[in-house]
Amino acid sequence: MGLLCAACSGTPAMPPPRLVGAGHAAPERGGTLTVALAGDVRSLDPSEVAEWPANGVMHLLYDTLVEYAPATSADPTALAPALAQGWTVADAGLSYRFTLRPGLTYSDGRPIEAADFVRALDRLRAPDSRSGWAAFFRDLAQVRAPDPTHLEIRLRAPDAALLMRLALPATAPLPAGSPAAARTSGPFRVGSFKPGQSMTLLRNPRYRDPARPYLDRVVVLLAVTGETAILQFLRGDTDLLEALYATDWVRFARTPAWQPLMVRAPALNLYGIALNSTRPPLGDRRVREALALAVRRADLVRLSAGNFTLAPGPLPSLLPEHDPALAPPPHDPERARRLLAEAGLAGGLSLRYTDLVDAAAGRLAQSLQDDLLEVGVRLIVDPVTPATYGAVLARGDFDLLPYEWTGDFPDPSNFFQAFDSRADGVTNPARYRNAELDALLAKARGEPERGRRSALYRRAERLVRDDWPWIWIGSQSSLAVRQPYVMGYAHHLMWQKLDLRDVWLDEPRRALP
Amino acid sequence: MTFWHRFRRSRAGLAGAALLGLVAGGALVGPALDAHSPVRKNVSAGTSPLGEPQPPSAEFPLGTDALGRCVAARLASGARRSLAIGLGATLIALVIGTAIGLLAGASGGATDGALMRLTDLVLAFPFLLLALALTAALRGTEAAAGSGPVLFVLGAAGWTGSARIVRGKALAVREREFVQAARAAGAGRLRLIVRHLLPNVAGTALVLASLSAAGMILAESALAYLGLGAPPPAPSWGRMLQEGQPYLRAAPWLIAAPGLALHATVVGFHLLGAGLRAALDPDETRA
Amino acid sequence: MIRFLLRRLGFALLAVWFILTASFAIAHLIPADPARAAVGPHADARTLAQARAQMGLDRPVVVQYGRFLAHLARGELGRSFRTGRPIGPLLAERAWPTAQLALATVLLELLIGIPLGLWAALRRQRALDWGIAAVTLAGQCAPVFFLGPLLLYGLAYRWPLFPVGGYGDGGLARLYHLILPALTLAVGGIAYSARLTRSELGEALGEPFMRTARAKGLSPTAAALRHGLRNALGPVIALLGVELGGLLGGVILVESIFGWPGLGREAVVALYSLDLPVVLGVVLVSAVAVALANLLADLVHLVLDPRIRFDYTLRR
Repeated sequence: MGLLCAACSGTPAMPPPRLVGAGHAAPERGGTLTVALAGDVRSLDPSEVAEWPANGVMHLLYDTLVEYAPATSADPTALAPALAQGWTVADAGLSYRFTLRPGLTYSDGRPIEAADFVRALDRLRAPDSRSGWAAFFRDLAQVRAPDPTHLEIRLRAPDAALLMRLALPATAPLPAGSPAAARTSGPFRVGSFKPGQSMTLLRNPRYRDPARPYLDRVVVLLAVTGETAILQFLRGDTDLLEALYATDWVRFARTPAWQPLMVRAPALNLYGIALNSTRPPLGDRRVREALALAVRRADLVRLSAGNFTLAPGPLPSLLPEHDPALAPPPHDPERARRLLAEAGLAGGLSLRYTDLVDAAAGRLAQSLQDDLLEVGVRLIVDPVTPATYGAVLARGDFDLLPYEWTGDFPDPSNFFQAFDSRADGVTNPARYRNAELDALLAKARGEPERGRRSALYRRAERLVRDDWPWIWIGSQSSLAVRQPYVMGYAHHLMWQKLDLRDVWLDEPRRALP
Repeated sequence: MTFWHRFRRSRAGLAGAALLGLVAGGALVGPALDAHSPVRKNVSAGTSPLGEPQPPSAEFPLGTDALGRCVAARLASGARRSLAIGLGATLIALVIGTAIGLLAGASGGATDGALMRLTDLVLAFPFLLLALALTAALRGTEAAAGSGPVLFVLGAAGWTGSARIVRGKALAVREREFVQAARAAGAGRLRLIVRHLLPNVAGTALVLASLSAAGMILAESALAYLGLGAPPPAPSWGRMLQEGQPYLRAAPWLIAAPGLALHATVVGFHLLGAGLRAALDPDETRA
Repeated sequence: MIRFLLRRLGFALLAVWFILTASFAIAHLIPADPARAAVGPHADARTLAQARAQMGLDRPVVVQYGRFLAHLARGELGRSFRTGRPIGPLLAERAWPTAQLALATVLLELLIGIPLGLWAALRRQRALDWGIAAVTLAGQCAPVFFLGPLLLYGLAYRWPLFPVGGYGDGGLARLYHLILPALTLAVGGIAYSARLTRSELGEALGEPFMRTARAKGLSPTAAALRHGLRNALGPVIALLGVELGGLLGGVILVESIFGWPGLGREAVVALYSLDLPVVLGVVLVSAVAVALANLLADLVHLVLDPRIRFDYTLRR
C-alpha cells in the first residue's frame, strides 16, 4: 500500500542520511568500512580475475611494480614507482630493468624478491596459461631476476604501454609454494572469503606505505542486486554505495544533504554496437554510416540520466590521445535513408541484434529499435545469457552486437584491440579488417615519443571512425555515494570506486535525530 | 441440470469469469482506447529531462516507463501477449498431457506403467531450471526470435499434471459398463479412446486447462523476470515487471500495474477452474 | 513391502540418472561458450582454446559424457569452470542455506497454517472460511518476484523489522535473515495448509468418535485438539513433505531476490555462464531431493493431487 501511495507524489527525493561523523579534520586510523558489490569475486588469484569490479578488489590485495598517480592528481594516467623504486629503459625500448625498493615484505613478513615477479609473469605468459590476461604478456621475450632486488624484462618489439600493463594486479609478485591469497603485498590482506557471499579484508601492517591504509577492515558484500544494495545503504548498513541506478542518482541529487556525498567521475570504458562487416548489407560502408546517423543519441543520454559521455569514435574522450575535434554524428534520418537507398536498400531491411539479458541493455536495445525503424530498418532483438553471447560473438552469427569495453589501462592500444584484424571474433566483434590501420597501430605501439605517438593514434582514430565499423555510443560515468562519515574518498581512474587507500572513517558515527 | 445452470451456481466461477472477462476486454479494446503506442518510445515527451518515468496523469493514466511509453497502453498490449502465451502453452501442454493420459489409461498394463514413469521423470525435473536451460538452448540461434521458444518450453515441461489426472479419470471411465460393453463388442483402442474416453475426460481437461493457464502465465512472467521471456519490443507483463525492477521505489507504478494485472488474471483462472469443476465434475468437488 | 520399496528405490536411481543425462544433453545443445565466461572478456583466441582444452570441451560430446559418468561413479563432480573450486564442497556449502530456507518455509506453513485452519474449523463461520479461501487464493497466485520485493521494501525498509537481504552470520542473526525469504515462500503454503486442515478437520469433526469424545465431556476445542487434529494432520504433513522435496532443489527466484546463497541462485549464475559442472551438480541435488520426497510420499501411501507439486515448482 505504501508503495502505491508513493506513486501519487511522483519520483520522490531520497530520504537524507541517518548517520553523520564525529567531525575530525585529520585522518583517523581504524574502523570497518562495508561496501556491497553488484558482481561476484570468483577467485582470490589475480591472474584468474579479469572482470570489474572484482579486479578493483585485487588491487586492494596485490601491489605492483608501478602504480597510477592518486585519483586527485593532475594526470591520473601518469605512472609512479610502487614496489619498484626506479627503472631504466635500454635497447630502443626493448629492455627494462627495475630496481625493487629495499626491505619489501608480504603481509606475513616474508621478503618480496625479484624472483617472485618472474614467477608471476612467467605464469601469465606460459603457453598453457588460461589467464584472461595472458594476451597482454605474450610479447615478453624474457623475464629474469639477476639478483633479489633487480628484475629484467625483454620485449620482442618495443611497446610504450608495457609499464601500464605492469600496473595490473595480475603482475603482482607471486610467492613460492603458496596460493597468492596466503600472503599479499597490497594495502590489505585476506581475512575471510566466501564466494557469492562476502569477504573481509584486513589492514596489511607491512604495506610499503606505513601510514596507509587508514581502515582496519573492509567488509565486501558480494553479488548484491541493485535494489538490495540501495536499501542497505539507505538504512546505513553499508558505508559506500558502489552500484546504483541512474534514477536513484537523480533522487539522491534532489536531497541537499546527499549532494556533497555524491561522487561522479568519467570512467575508462566505451560502449558501442559492433556491426558485423562479414554479413552482406553491413559490408557496405554506406549502410553502416546510415545506421550510425539514425540513432538519437540525445535519447540515450537521457535514458542514463545524463551519466553518459558520447564518444564519436573508438577512443573514450577521457584518453589524452582522443582528438577533441571529432564530434559524434548528428541525428540525420534523411541522410540515413538516402545512404540506404544508394546501397539499394530503399525497401528497408531486417537485422539481428543479439542482446544481453539485462534491464539496462534492454532499454538501449529498444531505443535503437525505434530509431532504426524510422529509417526502415527492422531490428530483431534476441536477449541471451552471457555464455550464449560469448558463443554468438565467436561464431559471428549476428548483425549487430552491443559491446562494452572496460579499459585495462589508459592507453589507446587497449581500445584499438577491438579493430585489430588479428583478433577476429574474440576482441574484434565487428571482424573489422583494415591493413592501413594495422600498420598504423603497429607503428604507434613502438613509438616511444609521446607527442608522435599521440599523432599516430589520432590518425588511426579518424581512419576507423570514417569507416563506421561500430555505432559508437559513449562512456558510462562512474557513480558512487558515500555516507557522511566516510572521508578521503575519491574516484580512481583505474580502480574506480574501490581505491580505499586514502579512505578514513570519521568515527564515532552519530545517528541524526 | 445443464452445465450452464451448475456453473451459474458457483460464485467462484462467476467471479473468475468476470475477472477474466475484464482482462480480456482490456486486452481487446484497450489498445483502441489509448492513442499512445505501446512499443514506440517517447523519450522527449514521456520522461523528465533527467530520464525519469512520469507518474500517472490525465494523459498517461498509469504513468510512463523509462522510454516514455504509456504504461496503460503497454498493459493492454501486454495482456494480449501474456494471455496468448499462457493459453497457447496450455493448449500444447494439454494436448500432450491428454494424449499421454488417455493412451496410458486406455492401454493399462506395461504401456501405462511406462508412460506414467515417463511422467514421473519429467515431473522430477527442476522446472524453472529446465525451462531456463531450454530457453537458453533455443536463444541465440537464427530461428529463435519471437515467442516460439517460450511457448515450446512451457508446453514441453508443463504437461505432466494433466497427463496424470486424465489417466486417472480414463482408468475410472474404462471400468464403466458402456466402455466394457464396447470392448466386448471388439472396439479397437483408438476407437475406444476417441469415442468413449475422450468425451468423458473432456470436462476434467477443461478444468485442468483453466488451472494450468494460471500456472503458465506465472511461469512466463518468471522466465521474463529472469530476462528470458518473449523478446522486445512487444510487451508482456513479465517483461514489464523485469523492466520495472530498477524503478521499484522511484516509479512504483511500473511494477504495480503489471504485477496486479498478473495477479488478478491468475486468480481469475483459479476461480474459473473452481467454477468449471463445480459444473463439470460435481463428484470431484472437494474444497 | 520390501520389494515395493526396492523397486521404488531402483526407479528413483533411474530417474536421477535420466535427469542428469537429459540435463547433460540440453546443456550441450545450448549454443554457448563456457570458456569465454570463465576467462573473462579480455582473453584472446589462444587463451580461449587453452581454456576449452583444460575444461575438456574440445573432446567429442560422447567422450565428455563418458568421463562425466566415470567421475560421477567415483563420487567426483569435477571443478567449476568459473571459479575452479571443486563441485562437491561447493554443493555442500550451497545446500545448507537452501535446506535452512526450505525447513523454515515448511515450519512457517505448519506453525501458522495449521492453527489458522484449526481456528476456522472450530469457529465454523462462513465469513472466516471465505476469508481464508480468499487469502489462500491470493497467496497462491502472487508471483514471488512481486511479493518478495514488496515484503523487502515494506518490512525491511519502510518499517525496518528485518534485514535487507543477505545470509547473516550464524545463530540468531541467521534466523533474523531467514524470516523474510521464508515468509515470501510460505505465504501460499500457509494459506493452503490452513485450508487443508480446515477441510480435513471439518470432516473429522463429523465422525462418530468425535461425538463419543464430546459425550465423555470434553469441550469442543479439547475434542478437536485431542482427536480430530491427529486425523487431520496426516494429509497436511504429507503435503508439506512433498513440498520440502521441491524446495530443497533450490528456489531460484526467492534466493536471487534476497541474496540467499543457496543452490537456486548458484544455478542461475552457473546457467548464465554455462558453468556445466555446477549446473549438473545442482540438477543432481535437486533430482535426488525430489526423488526422495516422492519415495516418502509413496511410503505414506497417500495419493496426492499432482497439481499441487506442479504449481509449486512453477512459482519458485
